[in-house]
Amino acid sequence: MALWTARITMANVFRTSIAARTTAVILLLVGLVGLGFLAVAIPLAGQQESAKQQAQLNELLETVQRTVSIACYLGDKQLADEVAQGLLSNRTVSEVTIRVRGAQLVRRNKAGVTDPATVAPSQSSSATLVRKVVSPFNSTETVGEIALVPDAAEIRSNVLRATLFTSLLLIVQVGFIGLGVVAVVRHFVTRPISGISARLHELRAETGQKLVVPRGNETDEIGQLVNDVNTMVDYLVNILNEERGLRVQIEIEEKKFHAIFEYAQTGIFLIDESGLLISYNRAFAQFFGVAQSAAYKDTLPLFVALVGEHREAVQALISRTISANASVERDIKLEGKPGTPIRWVNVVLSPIEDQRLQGVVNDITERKRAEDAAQELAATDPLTRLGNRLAFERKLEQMMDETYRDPNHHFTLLMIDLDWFKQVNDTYGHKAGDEVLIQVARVLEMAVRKTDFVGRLGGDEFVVLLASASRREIVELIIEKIIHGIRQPIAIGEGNSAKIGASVGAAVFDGEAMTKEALIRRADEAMYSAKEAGRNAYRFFEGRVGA
Amino acid sequence: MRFIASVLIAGLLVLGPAHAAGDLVVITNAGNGVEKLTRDEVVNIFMGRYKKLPSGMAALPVDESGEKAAFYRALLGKELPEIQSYWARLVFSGQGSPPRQMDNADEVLETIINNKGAIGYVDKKKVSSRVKVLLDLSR
Repeated sequence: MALWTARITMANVFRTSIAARTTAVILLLVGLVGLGFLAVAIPLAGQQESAKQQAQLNELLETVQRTVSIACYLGDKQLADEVAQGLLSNRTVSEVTIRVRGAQLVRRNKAGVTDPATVAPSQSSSATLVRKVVSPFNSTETVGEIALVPDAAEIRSNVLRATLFTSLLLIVQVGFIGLGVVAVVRHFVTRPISGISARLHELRAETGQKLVVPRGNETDEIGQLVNDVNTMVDYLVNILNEERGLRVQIEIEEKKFHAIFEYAQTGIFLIDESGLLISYNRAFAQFFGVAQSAAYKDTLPLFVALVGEHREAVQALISRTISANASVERDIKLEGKPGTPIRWVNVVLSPIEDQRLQGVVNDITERKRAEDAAQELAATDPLTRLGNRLAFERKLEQMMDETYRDPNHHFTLLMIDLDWFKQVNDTYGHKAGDEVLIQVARVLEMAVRKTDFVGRLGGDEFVVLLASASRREIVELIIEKIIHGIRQPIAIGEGNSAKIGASVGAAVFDGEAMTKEALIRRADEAMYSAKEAGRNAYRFFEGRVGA
Repeated sequence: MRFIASVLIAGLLVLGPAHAAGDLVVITNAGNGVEKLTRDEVVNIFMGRYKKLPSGMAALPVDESGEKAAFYRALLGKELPEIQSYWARLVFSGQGSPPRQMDNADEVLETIINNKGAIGYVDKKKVSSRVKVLLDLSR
């Protein structure tokens, strides 16, 4: 397990460390070269060692030459044995044989056996050193020979030792080369690189910081690398700064536009084609009473839900915008919450891209009010504040339309003509006449309901439109109430009072096809017949069978 | 070369006033049946290799202190220390012993006359009929 982990760690080191990898490769190369060298050196060392051993043996023989010569000369076994023992004391000699004239004088080997019978004949005859021994007194006379068998095992072990020593030297050399390479690579390559890497890590380029070239690397590849990195950092920082400047500019622009959007008095909003609000500004929120924060998009309502009773109209507006692919506008009355004033807004919807619609909402309440005022002014009798002929005709048309739509919705037109008004006018003056007309107007207004219409057509001529009083009894009751009211004396100032009367003609409209002029004529006819019947009377138009 | 040089030096010494060079002869008992010996045979007997004379008689070599240096110089071309060193090697082996030492020529002659196997050396002038010359070293 530990070995396995160690192997993984080693593998990591090789992947991540140049020094380790370089060292491994160089060690491998040096190792291979070393092995090759050993392959040559070991046999060579062996040969050298063998030669050395041979030379040693020869020297040995040289040393004992004189004594052997004497021993052989005399055939002295004792002396020869001494020589043999002396030679055997050298570890590389395994056997010594001294012969005199072909006969063995002494034979001795390492085991100490001297008996010729038990000594096996020299097997390694090729390695055996044989020397002639000459007489000490006559160098031409050979008196014997000495044979020396080297100890092959001992020589082998000596050779091996020499070889091992050589190998050991080589291994130590390889080791030192490896360590040296590690140190050199670390010092000149890895250390500067990791230094640069660490500095690069902490570099805050945007503040204008630069990498520093490690000392001593100014002109080499590492220096070049650092300079290149610095150049690139410069380039990138410049680009970043430009980019940042642009972004700030864009932000300013955006803020400007956002402020315009947000603080415009005009409501601006975006909806999708289904009418769902996408965004809106402050003015819009105020118009429609929605939350000002548009942050929660999933809670944004449908636009049509904000316009109350105009829901369908607005839905139609959206559909028209989409189908026409053009801007469409409409005025909408916003009822608002109870207690808040009614407002009118003009909504313009325009199609924009992405299947969205842009809406612009403008407050037109003031304009609307001015318009209404003008309209009211045009349709009001300034003296009595009642509707004038214009208002009457407009109301009449409207009510006739309603009856055409719903025939059960009958209404009754009353024509009222004052009696003796001319006399009051002539007697007390126009001012008194005006006062009488104002009082009559109040009487009429008191007699009818709010939904009914009361108007003055001119002079002493008044009209009443009874919207829902289709039952004759009720209409008669109202008419009698009117006549009664008008007959009461009217104070006209300076302690005087006027007494007038009224003739009333009634015409019921039940949806029969006719013009408003025709209807008015009917009421007029009834009114004249009431006048003919005497003052303070009323008549219904009876011209039609069954009416 | 070295050998020749030492022979020359030896020759110069022999030619000195005390002894005339080449006047030593190897002698033995007249009645032991040996007539002549080669120089090698003389060497072998004096250096202990031959224990017997060619006739089969046990050999008894003797040295004479006065002529000893001249004798070995003439016979082997070696100086006395070398000869002494040779014998020293053989002391422990007991294989051989150096020739018996005599003090003068008369003692040598007497020993030879009295011992049949005795062999020695004297100046040529001292040779008498009682001894037999085996080898003339001056030749």
